[in-house]
Amino acid sequence: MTTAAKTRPAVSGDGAAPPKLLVQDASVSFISRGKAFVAVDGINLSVRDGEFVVIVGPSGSGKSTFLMALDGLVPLSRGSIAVDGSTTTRTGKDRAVVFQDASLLPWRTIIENVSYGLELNGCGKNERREIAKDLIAVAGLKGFENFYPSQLSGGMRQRVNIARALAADPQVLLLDEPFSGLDAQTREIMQSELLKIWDERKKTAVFVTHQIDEAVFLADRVIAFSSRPARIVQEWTIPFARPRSLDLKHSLEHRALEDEIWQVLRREGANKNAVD
Amino acid sequence: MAAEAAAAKPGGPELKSSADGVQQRLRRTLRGARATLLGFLAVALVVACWQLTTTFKLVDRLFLPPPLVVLSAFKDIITSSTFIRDLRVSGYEFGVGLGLSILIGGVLGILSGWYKPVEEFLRPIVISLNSVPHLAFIPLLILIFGIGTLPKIILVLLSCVVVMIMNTAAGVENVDPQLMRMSRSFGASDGQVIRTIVAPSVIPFFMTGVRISVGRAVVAVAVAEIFASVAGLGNILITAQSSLNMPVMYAAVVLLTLIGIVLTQAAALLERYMQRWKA
Repeated sequence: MTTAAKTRPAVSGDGAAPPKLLVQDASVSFISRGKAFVAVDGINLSVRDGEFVVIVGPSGSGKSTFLMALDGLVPLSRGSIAVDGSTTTRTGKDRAVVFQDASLLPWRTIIENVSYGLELNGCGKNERREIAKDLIAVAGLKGFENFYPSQLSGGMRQRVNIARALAADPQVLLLDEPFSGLDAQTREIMQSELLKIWDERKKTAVFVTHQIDEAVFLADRVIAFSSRPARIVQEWTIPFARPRSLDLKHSLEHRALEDEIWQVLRREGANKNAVD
Repeated sequence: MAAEAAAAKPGGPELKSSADGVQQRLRRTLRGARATLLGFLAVALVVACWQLTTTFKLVDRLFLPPPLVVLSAFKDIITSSTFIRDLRVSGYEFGVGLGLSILIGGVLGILSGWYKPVEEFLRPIVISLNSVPHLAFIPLLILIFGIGTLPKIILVLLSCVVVMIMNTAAGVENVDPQLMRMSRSFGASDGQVIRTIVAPSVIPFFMTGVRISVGRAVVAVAVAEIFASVAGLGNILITAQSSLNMPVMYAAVVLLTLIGIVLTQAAALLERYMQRWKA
């Protein structure tokens, strides 16, 4: 690999504050028809507080599985995950997932959906309504508090999904291809809206996608996964200043980075086909 | 927010402006008025034919008294000294039978929806109970339990419990696994998943079971009482028939029909209310 200059040490052990999220040698394997198969193989990853990390990889690579493992929905077969220095093996309040499917409760209004995580944590009714109201405003859904999900568009439902995860005030926000179900135009708008929200809250985020432009536009750091089993192939620090506007996507620097990542992923895909 | 309007555009059904809302409500009211009018016309037509049949003596008036005579018999029934007792007996059989069905059927339905072995264990019983014409149990139940309220309650139970089991189980099986995963991702406990995800998902199915059961329970009580009873609304009918008091017999039929309509419509309304979040 010719990437030494660009890759940072995966585990920064240089005395500073502990990373927000520290993943060491994380592996996930499944048993399918009596055969063990490895979906994620030995991932080392350190995410600092307030960092926005995007994982890209060919579809069918284990990147979503890795994200589910970060949340504790899928058990690790090897390795460890630590949030703020404490190791975790189960789902918890310190992490929240924004799923690809908005996964809203259809029988609840928007404000009741946004306060769902708070409710599970035993937060009082008035308090969680206040918090939810704030986040609904941040997500640009003011006035829709008492609507039902079926009355909203796909993009709006996905905003509710994000607001719900943020309302629970997790230490780490995990996003699993949250915009892949939206049409291209809405997706672009949602990307810039997400950055707006993120600029305001500065949450540590791990975002999984297969859209390279999305990755470069959103990330502080982009990590490329190989196809099955998922390993880290290469990573890039994204230099663009924040706040970012959608115009950035049309800049040469942005395009060049996209192209570079694309070349790596394509080579990765070709390798995989050769092995198969 | 400029992006707001743009984001709202592409995805499917959008929010209506308030002027549209008013217009739509008006259109719905008009459509509702038309349905009421046409429905009323249909009933009026039947009553008119009935009146003509008796006016021109197409049928012996002994067997088919004119509407007004039946109406006055109807008044006699509901003002008679025994009416409250009959209503209470039938209501008791209906209420206890339906209540037990909902309770037992609900619990068994949840269990068999959640645990496959329970479903497999109950399957032959559910299938047979669902296939047999449940009114065929009446002679048997009378032989075993006599002609009091107990055989009616058991008949209602036999008629409704399967409906409740099947609908509730279907509801449990239809819980969206993605919603459960979402709930788990927020660290929900088993109890929280059941309370916030499973129970609300099952309610629409459960309520459909209740609505169907209400109809079946009305039929079961009425027919069982007509077979053999000491009191009840069906008893009014059969007593009148055996004493050839045709106006009272017809009035009892009308009464049972009205009660059936009111109860099933109430159940349907409740069902719709519980699903008011559906677009």
